[in-house]
Order: sequence, then C-alpha cells, then structure tokens
Amino acid sequence: MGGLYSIGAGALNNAQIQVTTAGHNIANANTPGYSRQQANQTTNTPSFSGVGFIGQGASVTNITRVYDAFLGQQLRQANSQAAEASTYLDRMQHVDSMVGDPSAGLTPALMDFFQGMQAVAASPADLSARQSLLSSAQSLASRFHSLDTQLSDLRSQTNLDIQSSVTSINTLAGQIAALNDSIALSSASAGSGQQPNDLLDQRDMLVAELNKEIRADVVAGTNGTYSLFLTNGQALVLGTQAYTLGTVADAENIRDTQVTISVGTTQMRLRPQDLSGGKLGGLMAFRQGGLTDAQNALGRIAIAVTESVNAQHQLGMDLNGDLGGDFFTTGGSSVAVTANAGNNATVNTQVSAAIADYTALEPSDYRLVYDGTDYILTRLSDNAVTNLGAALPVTVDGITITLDSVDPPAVEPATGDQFLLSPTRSGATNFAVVLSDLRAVAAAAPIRTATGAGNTGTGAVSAGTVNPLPLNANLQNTVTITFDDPPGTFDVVDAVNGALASDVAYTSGADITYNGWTMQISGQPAAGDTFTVSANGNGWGDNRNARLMAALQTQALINGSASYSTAYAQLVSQVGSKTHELQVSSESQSNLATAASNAQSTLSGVNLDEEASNLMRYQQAYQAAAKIVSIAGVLFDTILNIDR
Amino acid sequence: MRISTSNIFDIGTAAIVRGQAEMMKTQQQLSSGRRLNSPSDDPVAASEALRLRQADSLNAQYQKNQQTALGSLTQVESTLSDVTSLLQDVRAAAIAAGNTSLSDLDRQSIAQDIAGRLEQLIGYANATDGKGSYLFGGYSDTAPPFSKTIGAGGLTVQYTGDQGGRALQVSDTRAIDLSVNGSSIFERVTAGNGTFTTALGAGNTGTGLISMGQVTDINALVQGDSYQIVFTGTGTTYDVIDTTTATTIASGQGYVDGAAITSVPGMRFEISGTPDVGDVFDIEPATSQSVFNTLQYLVNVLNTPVASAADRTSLTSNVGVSLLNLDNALNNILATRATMGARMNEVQSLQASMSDQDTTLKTALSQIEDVDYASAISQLSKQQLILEAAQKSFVSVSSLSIFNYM
Repeated sequence: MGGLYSIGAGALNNAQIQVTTAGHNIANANTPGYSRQQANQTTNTPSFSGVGFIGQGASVTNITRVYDAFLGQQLRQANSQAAEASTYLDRMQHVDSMVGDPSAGLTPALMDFFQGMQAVAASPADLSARQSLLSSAQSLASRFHSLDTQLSDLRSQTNLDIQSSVTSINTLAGQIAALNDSIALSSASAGSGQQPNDLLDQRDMLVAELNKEIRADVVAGTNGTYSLFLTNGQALVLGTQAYTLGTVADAENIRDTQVTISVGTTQMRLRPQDLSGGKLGGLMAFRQGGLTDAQNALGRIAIAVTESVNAQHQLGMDLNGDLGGDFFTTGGSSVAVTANAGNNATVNTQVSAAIADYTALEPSDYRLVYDGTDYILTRLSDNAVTNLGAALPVTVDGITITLDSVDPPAVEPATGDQFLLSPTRSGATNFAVVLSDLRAVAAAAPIRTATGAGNTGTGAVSAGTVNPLPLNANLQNTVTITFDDPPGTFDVVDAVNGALASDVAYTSGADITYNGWTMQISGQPAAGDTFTVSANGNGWGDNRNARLMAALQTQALINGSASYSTAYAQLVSQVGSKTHELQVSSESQSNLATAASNAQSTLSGVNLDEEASNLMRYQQAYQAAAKIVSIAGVLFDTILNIDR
Repeated sequence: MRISTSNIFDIGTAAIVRGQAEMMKTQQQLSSGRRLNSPSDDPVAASEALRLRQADSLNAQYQKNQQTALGSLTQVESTLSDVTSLLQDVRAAAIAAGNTSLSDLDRQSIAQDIAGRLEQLIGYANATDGKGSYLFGGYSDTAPPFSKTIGAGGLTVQYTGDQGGRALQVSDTRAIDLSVNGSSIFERVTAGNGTFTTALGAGNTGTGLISMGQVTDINALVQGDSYQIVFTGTGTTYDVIDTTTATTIASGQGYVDGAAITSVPGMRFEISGTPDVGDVFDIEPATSQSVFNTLQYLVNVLNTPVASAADRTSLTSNVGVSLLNLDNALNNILATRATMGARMNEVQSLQASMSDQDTTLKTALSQIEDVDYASAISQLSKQQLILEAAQKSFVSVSSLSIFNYM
C-alpha cells in the first residue's frame, strides 16, 4: 500500500515538475537564446518480491535543455562572417554613393576645368574666359577636398568604431568569464548530470554576441567552462580569466587606431590580419582595403592633374609676357613616410621619399623593411615584394626612396626596422590652386616662328613647340636660320650667343631643335632664305599652350594607360565592384546566418502548440496521479474498515 | 519536421521585409528614372557611363568650338570678299586710267579715288572680330596689325603683327586655323609673273614696251640673277647683260618689233614699239610686293603728268605693271578665300558628324543609365503580388494556435 502511495506521490511530483517545465518554456518562448527544456522522467528501480519485480513508479531524473553544440558553433561562425560582411558593406556603401554621384563625383569638375581651358583657347586674351577657368579650377580643388574629406571622415569614424567595438568585446568577454565561474560552481554543487541550463543559454547567447564583434572560437573545458580564442590563437577568455583589449595609435600609421591585448602587464599589438570576423574584422578590412584604396586612387589623380597641368603650364607664356608658373599644387613632391613605432630608437634611422615620375605611381601604400642586408619593399595593394638591394636611394614605381642624411650622416636602419610610405594618400587633401592672377594663365606659347620677308623659295615654317621641362634658358632668344647657297644646308645663329650650328643638312619636314624648342621647315627654300624663331612678344591672341593643356584631358598620363577621367572611372568601378561583391557576400552570409538560426530555432526553440499539448498531457498525468493517491487512500480505508 | 513558434514569426517577417526592400528598390528606380543609382548596381556600366559622359562633354565642347571657328572663318571670308570687290573696282579704274587719251586732270581724279580705296583697304586689313581682336594680326591680335606712315612717296604701310595663327580644336584630331596672318594675305604677293619682273628703264626716251614675259625652262633659270636689255646702235640692236655677274650674254642682237627675245636662260619676253639708243629694260627676280604698295604705286603713276610720247609709254607700262600686280594680289586673296571656304566646309561636315555622334552617345548613355519603364513596372507588379502573398499567408499561419481552443 505504501508502494502505491509513494508511486502516486512520485507521479504527482513528476507531473508538477513537467507542468512547471512546460510553463517555463511558454514563459521563455520569446527569450533570445533560450533553449527549450525537458524534464526527463525514468522508471524507478523495481523491488523484488517472491512474485517478481514490482514496479516502483517513475521519477524525474534531470532537466536538460535541447541544444546542439554543432548548430551553436555554426550559428556563431555564420553570425561572425555576416557581421563582418555587413559592417564592411555599410561603410563601403558610403564610398560607393559618394564617388558614383553623377553630379558630385570628380568627373563633372574635371570636365568643367577642361571646358574652361577650351574657352580660354577660344579667346586667350579675354579676362572673363580666364576668370571662368580659375573658378572651375577652384571648384575642381573643392571637389577633390570634399571627396577626400568624406573619406577622411570615414577613416576617423572607423577608428572610433574600432574603439567602441573593443569596448563591447571587453564587456562581453568579462561577462562570459563571470558566467564560466557561476557555471563551474553550480555544476560542482549540483552534482553530476545536472546542468544550470539557463546559465548555459545565457553564456551561449553572449558568445554569439561576441562573435558578432569578433570571431572567437570556443573550446569547452572539463568543468563546463568555455575558453575563447581569436583566429590567430590568442586567448581572449581562459576559463574564468578574460584578457582585456585596448587601443593605441597604430605602429605603422600613427593616425590610425591599433588594437592591443593585455597579457599580464604587457600590451601586445594585434595586427589587422589577427582580427578577423565580426564587426571589428569588418572595420579593419574596410580601413585596410576599400577606404585606403579609394583615398590612394583619388590622391593619385590629384597628383597627376597637378603635375601634368603644371608641366605644360610652365611651357607657356602668360598675359604679362612671363613664362607660366605652377597652376596647382599637391604640397610638393615629398612622400609621407612614417617610421614604425617599434623601430630601434637608438639607431633612429629616418627614410624619406619623393615622387620622381608621377605617371608611374601606383595607388598603394608601401612597407619598407630592412632585413639586415637588403631593403625589402612590399606594395600593400597587391603584396608585391621587391628587393631594393643593399643601398638607397632606389627609384621604384615612380618614387625615389632615400636614406635621410640630416644629422648625423645617414645610418643604416637596425634589422627589422620598418617604414610606411604613402605616396598618393594626401594628394587630394593638399590639392590646391596656386594661380590667382587672371593674367598669369599661360595660354600662349613663348616662342613664334616667321619666314623672312625677302624669301624667294617655297619654304614654310611650322608654328614651333617648346620642348618638355626643364626649360632652356635661351628659349626666347631670337634665332635665325639662313639657308646657304646651294640651299641644301643652313646656318643657325642665336642673336645673343652667336652661331649655334652651321652647314646643317636640310631635310624637308625634319625636326629642327635648338634652345629648347622644336620646329620644322618644309618645302624648298632658296639660297639666302631666312627663318626666325623669337620671343612671342605681344602674342596675346596665341592659344597654343591653352590647347596643349586642354588636350591633357584625354591623354593617357596615369600609369601610361589611363587619362584622369579613366583613372576616376577605374576608381568608381573598383569601388562599385567591391561594394557589389560585399552586397552579394553579405546577403549570402546573412542568409547562412538566418539558416543557421532557423536550424537552431527549429531544434531548440519553443513551440507553443507543443507546450500547450504538454500542459494538457501533464495536467492529465497530475490528475491521474492524484487518482492513484486517492485510490491508495480508499484501499487503505478498506483495510481499516475490515473489523467494522 | 519540428517548427518553433519563433520560426514562424521570424521567417514570416523576414520574407515580408525582403519583399519590401525589393519593392523599394524598384520604386526608387521608377521615381528617379535611373537604373543605376550607385556604381555597385552595375560597376562596369557605371564606369562606362563616366566614359560616355566625358565623350559627350568633349563633343559638346567641340561643337561649341566649331561654332566659334565657323563664326571666325565667316568673318575673315566676308572681309576678304569686301577686299576682293575693292581690288576689282581698283582694277577697273586702272584699266580706264591706262587710256592715254585721258587728260592729266582725269587721271588725277582717278588717282584720288584709288587713294581713297587704299585707305579703305587698310581699314579692311585692320578688321576686328566681335570681341575686338584683330583678324589679321596673327598672335598679336590686340593692336592694329597694319600701321601707315605718310612720306614723300605717299602712304607706306607696315605690318606689325606676326606670322602666327590661332587654331581651335574642332574634333579629337583636328585643329582648324581661324584666320590667316595679314602678312601672307596682303604683303606676300609675288610681283611680276611670279618668277621675274620686267620694267622700263627710268630714263627711256623711246616708246619701247616690254611684256611681262614667261618662264620657258625652269631648270635653265639662273636663280637670283638680274638682267638688262640695253639698246645700242640706232635702236635696232641690243645687248643682253647679266647685271649680277656683270657679263654680257648676248650683244648686237637685231631688234624686231614684237619678236620674242630668248637670250636670257629659261625666259622669254617681247619688246615692242620703238626704243631709242640707250634705252634700257630691266629683268629682275620677282620679290614680294604688298597690295598697299601696288595701290600707292598706281596712285603715284596716275599723278605723274604725261607730256611726251615717252611719258605715255611709261604710263602704259606702269599701269600694265600695276594691273599685273593687282591680279597677283587678287589671286592671292582668292586663294586665301578658297582656303577659308575649304575650312568652313570641313567644319560644317564635322558639325554634321558630331551631331550624329551626339545622338549615338546620348542613346548609349540612356541605355546604360536609364530605367526600362515597361520592365520595371511589370517587375513592381510582380513584387507587389509576392509581398501581398507573404503578408496574407503570414497572418493566417501565425493566427493558428491550440490556445484558441483551450
């Protein structure tokens, strides 16, 4: 009889626990990270009597959560990758819409500038045409600035975002370490087989959150704790110990933020490639990739515009009769070089670099490392490595790298010293119009040619061109070419410096170059015919140089293959492709994350209908168990009433 | 398969949100009319669009330059057309003045008229375009290119411009010269027959006239040498002297009125009339003679009184030389006008092809950038249908629950 009582009471107790569990599941149906729980019931050990084994009812042995560690790991990984892609994409979309805007991009400003140049060519002496050229030059400068400022803002915002992401990671890692502690304690005190399900859910939830900030792999410990490791193997959480991340100025580029991790009392710098996945990984990838590429490409266009327009402008003559000066500036030809913070401070070698050939520039940063014997240069955009040999200066990709010999004389760097070179990064930042005087636009060529008044032959002379820089000091001297008798040869006489050449063989249409100019005589000159090249005094109606400057618009000046606007189109298409690629990968990653989340929810999530049926089932079980107790009571009463 | 309640809600809302995002994108394309709203929509097309836009803007600039060039060329052409008719008038007047029966007074009045024409011609040569730039000054177009000084021999006109020529880019590969410098139009007019000039000696007393002559053998010509025909005897024989080398080429040649003289290598000319002994005829290499000098020379000739038969011969000869030089000047200007006409034709044909290109470029740009309304609208209806289905099915699925019956 006692057996029946205890079976009934046990069943009552079981049903109560099961109803409670169903209630707990219903209550947590919408709790993020909650895994549904099950009260597991087993048959009690039967007791043996002469008639055999008599059943002793059932009891709830434990309450487990329905959770699959594999699904959990998949979800973390998918979330981490989705967060990285969407963070990168978010930032990249700013760049995308910025460079692609048909009215705010660089192309319209470039076109306006060259249209202004054409207008000056159409009426070279007209000050209003010159005014509109200078205005369009100014608006080109402000367009470069506005694009560059937006990119720089994105960079500083990214640096701030890195800091806030580091803060979140620290908070999460701390919470996970604390939960590890609680879980280890609870599991130990509850005895074997019993798990603090809700604490486990909370920790899994936090680990998932952490993975949205940075990829951290889980290694489960024997006492129920989790250890978390970054992708480079660095521990972030070891049991109950969390390591703190921090931020410092980047060793390579002090304007950027670098992430560190405190191990004991030392702070280790983490390289960008050490931090992958999650928001932090996305921010690092954006800063190293899309953002730097865009800034460098934009800077390279600014440098090419400046150098090419300046070079041509200096070959011209302005309305004051002077030779042209600089039109634009990008702050000189020196390249920003940053010595790595980890360089040997005692040796303290400094390296400088300057642009030698703007047409050969690549839109990339470079890392220069001294390996003890040779200088190794890595182009960061494609990681192409060049061994520069044992001695500087060396010119590569249009940049001349020199060992600084200020004071004391140049010393070789210590082995392992590093320098970061950013040749084009600040091109757009420093882009400015130098020319301010309307009359100083050098639209004319400084020389002109003429055929002698008394010429009797049919010789004609071309308009003449000025040779590329450097300018010849005698450029504007009057030079007379006189044909000998017979006119198969000619003499060249500079009015200032005397004879330059005599008895030069004449070929119709061949280049004749003296004093830094080139011209051609064609036809059949007669003996004694003269041709002169002289300063283009009063040549205010001349537009030769303006036309040459306008022609720069379509010349392949960048890397020998791209005009300014083609280079910008390349930038736009590069940014567009990267953004598009990120859109695709972000969408697929987020689909994967959704699928993983659905899979987990399918297994672990609460189904209200299921719980409703459980409620009814355990309610009935409770009622039935009560009936067992009641029947046991009736039976017992029957015994008691036997002698009545 | 087991489904958790939150699955139902998550999947349902995700589908609705995705549908909304897609509809939003189509709606944005429809409302902006642009298929490409950012480069990532189609990176290749975006950079192609930039290229087309630049080509389009260059095209527009070339079209503008063509207008400017055409305006400038038209102006030059019309000024030169005025110069042509002026020179034709002068030529007619010169022919009239060559009539030896006119009185000195008649000739002087014609000379007066021609002197006026000369002033007018200087005006044409100093013509400006609409912006005050001088058409014929070369690069030095801010000051009048031709300046005059009055001396004993009448007006002297000096060219102060240069031999430059402003050009404008009218296509990718072609720059058109907008004008021709004044020197080559007005100054560089070859005198005589283009190779040599013939003239009466200043002190001739007979009535001998010399023709303008012609070149018979270009290879036999001695470049740069001057010659003299000197009449000897009683005016029935003559010597031919190369004055450059001071050698007599032929002596004692018998003179036949109007017969061709071919003693000078490579040349042939005729002397007619009755030369006196000691009369001289000069043959010199042709040099340039400015049209202003030609006119002034004519004025001076007509102002010279005619008293003797020799004066009359001189008048006839000098008017003949002037007419020849006028013809040379006219031919030079007509040749320049022909060049202008050819350039205008070229610009006009470029204009036609550029406007075709313009259409092609705009069409290409529109194909890349603009939305195809028909397909976008049908896309929108499709997306609307899908979204409505997702919403409706979500509502009906999510409202099912056992709790409704408990």
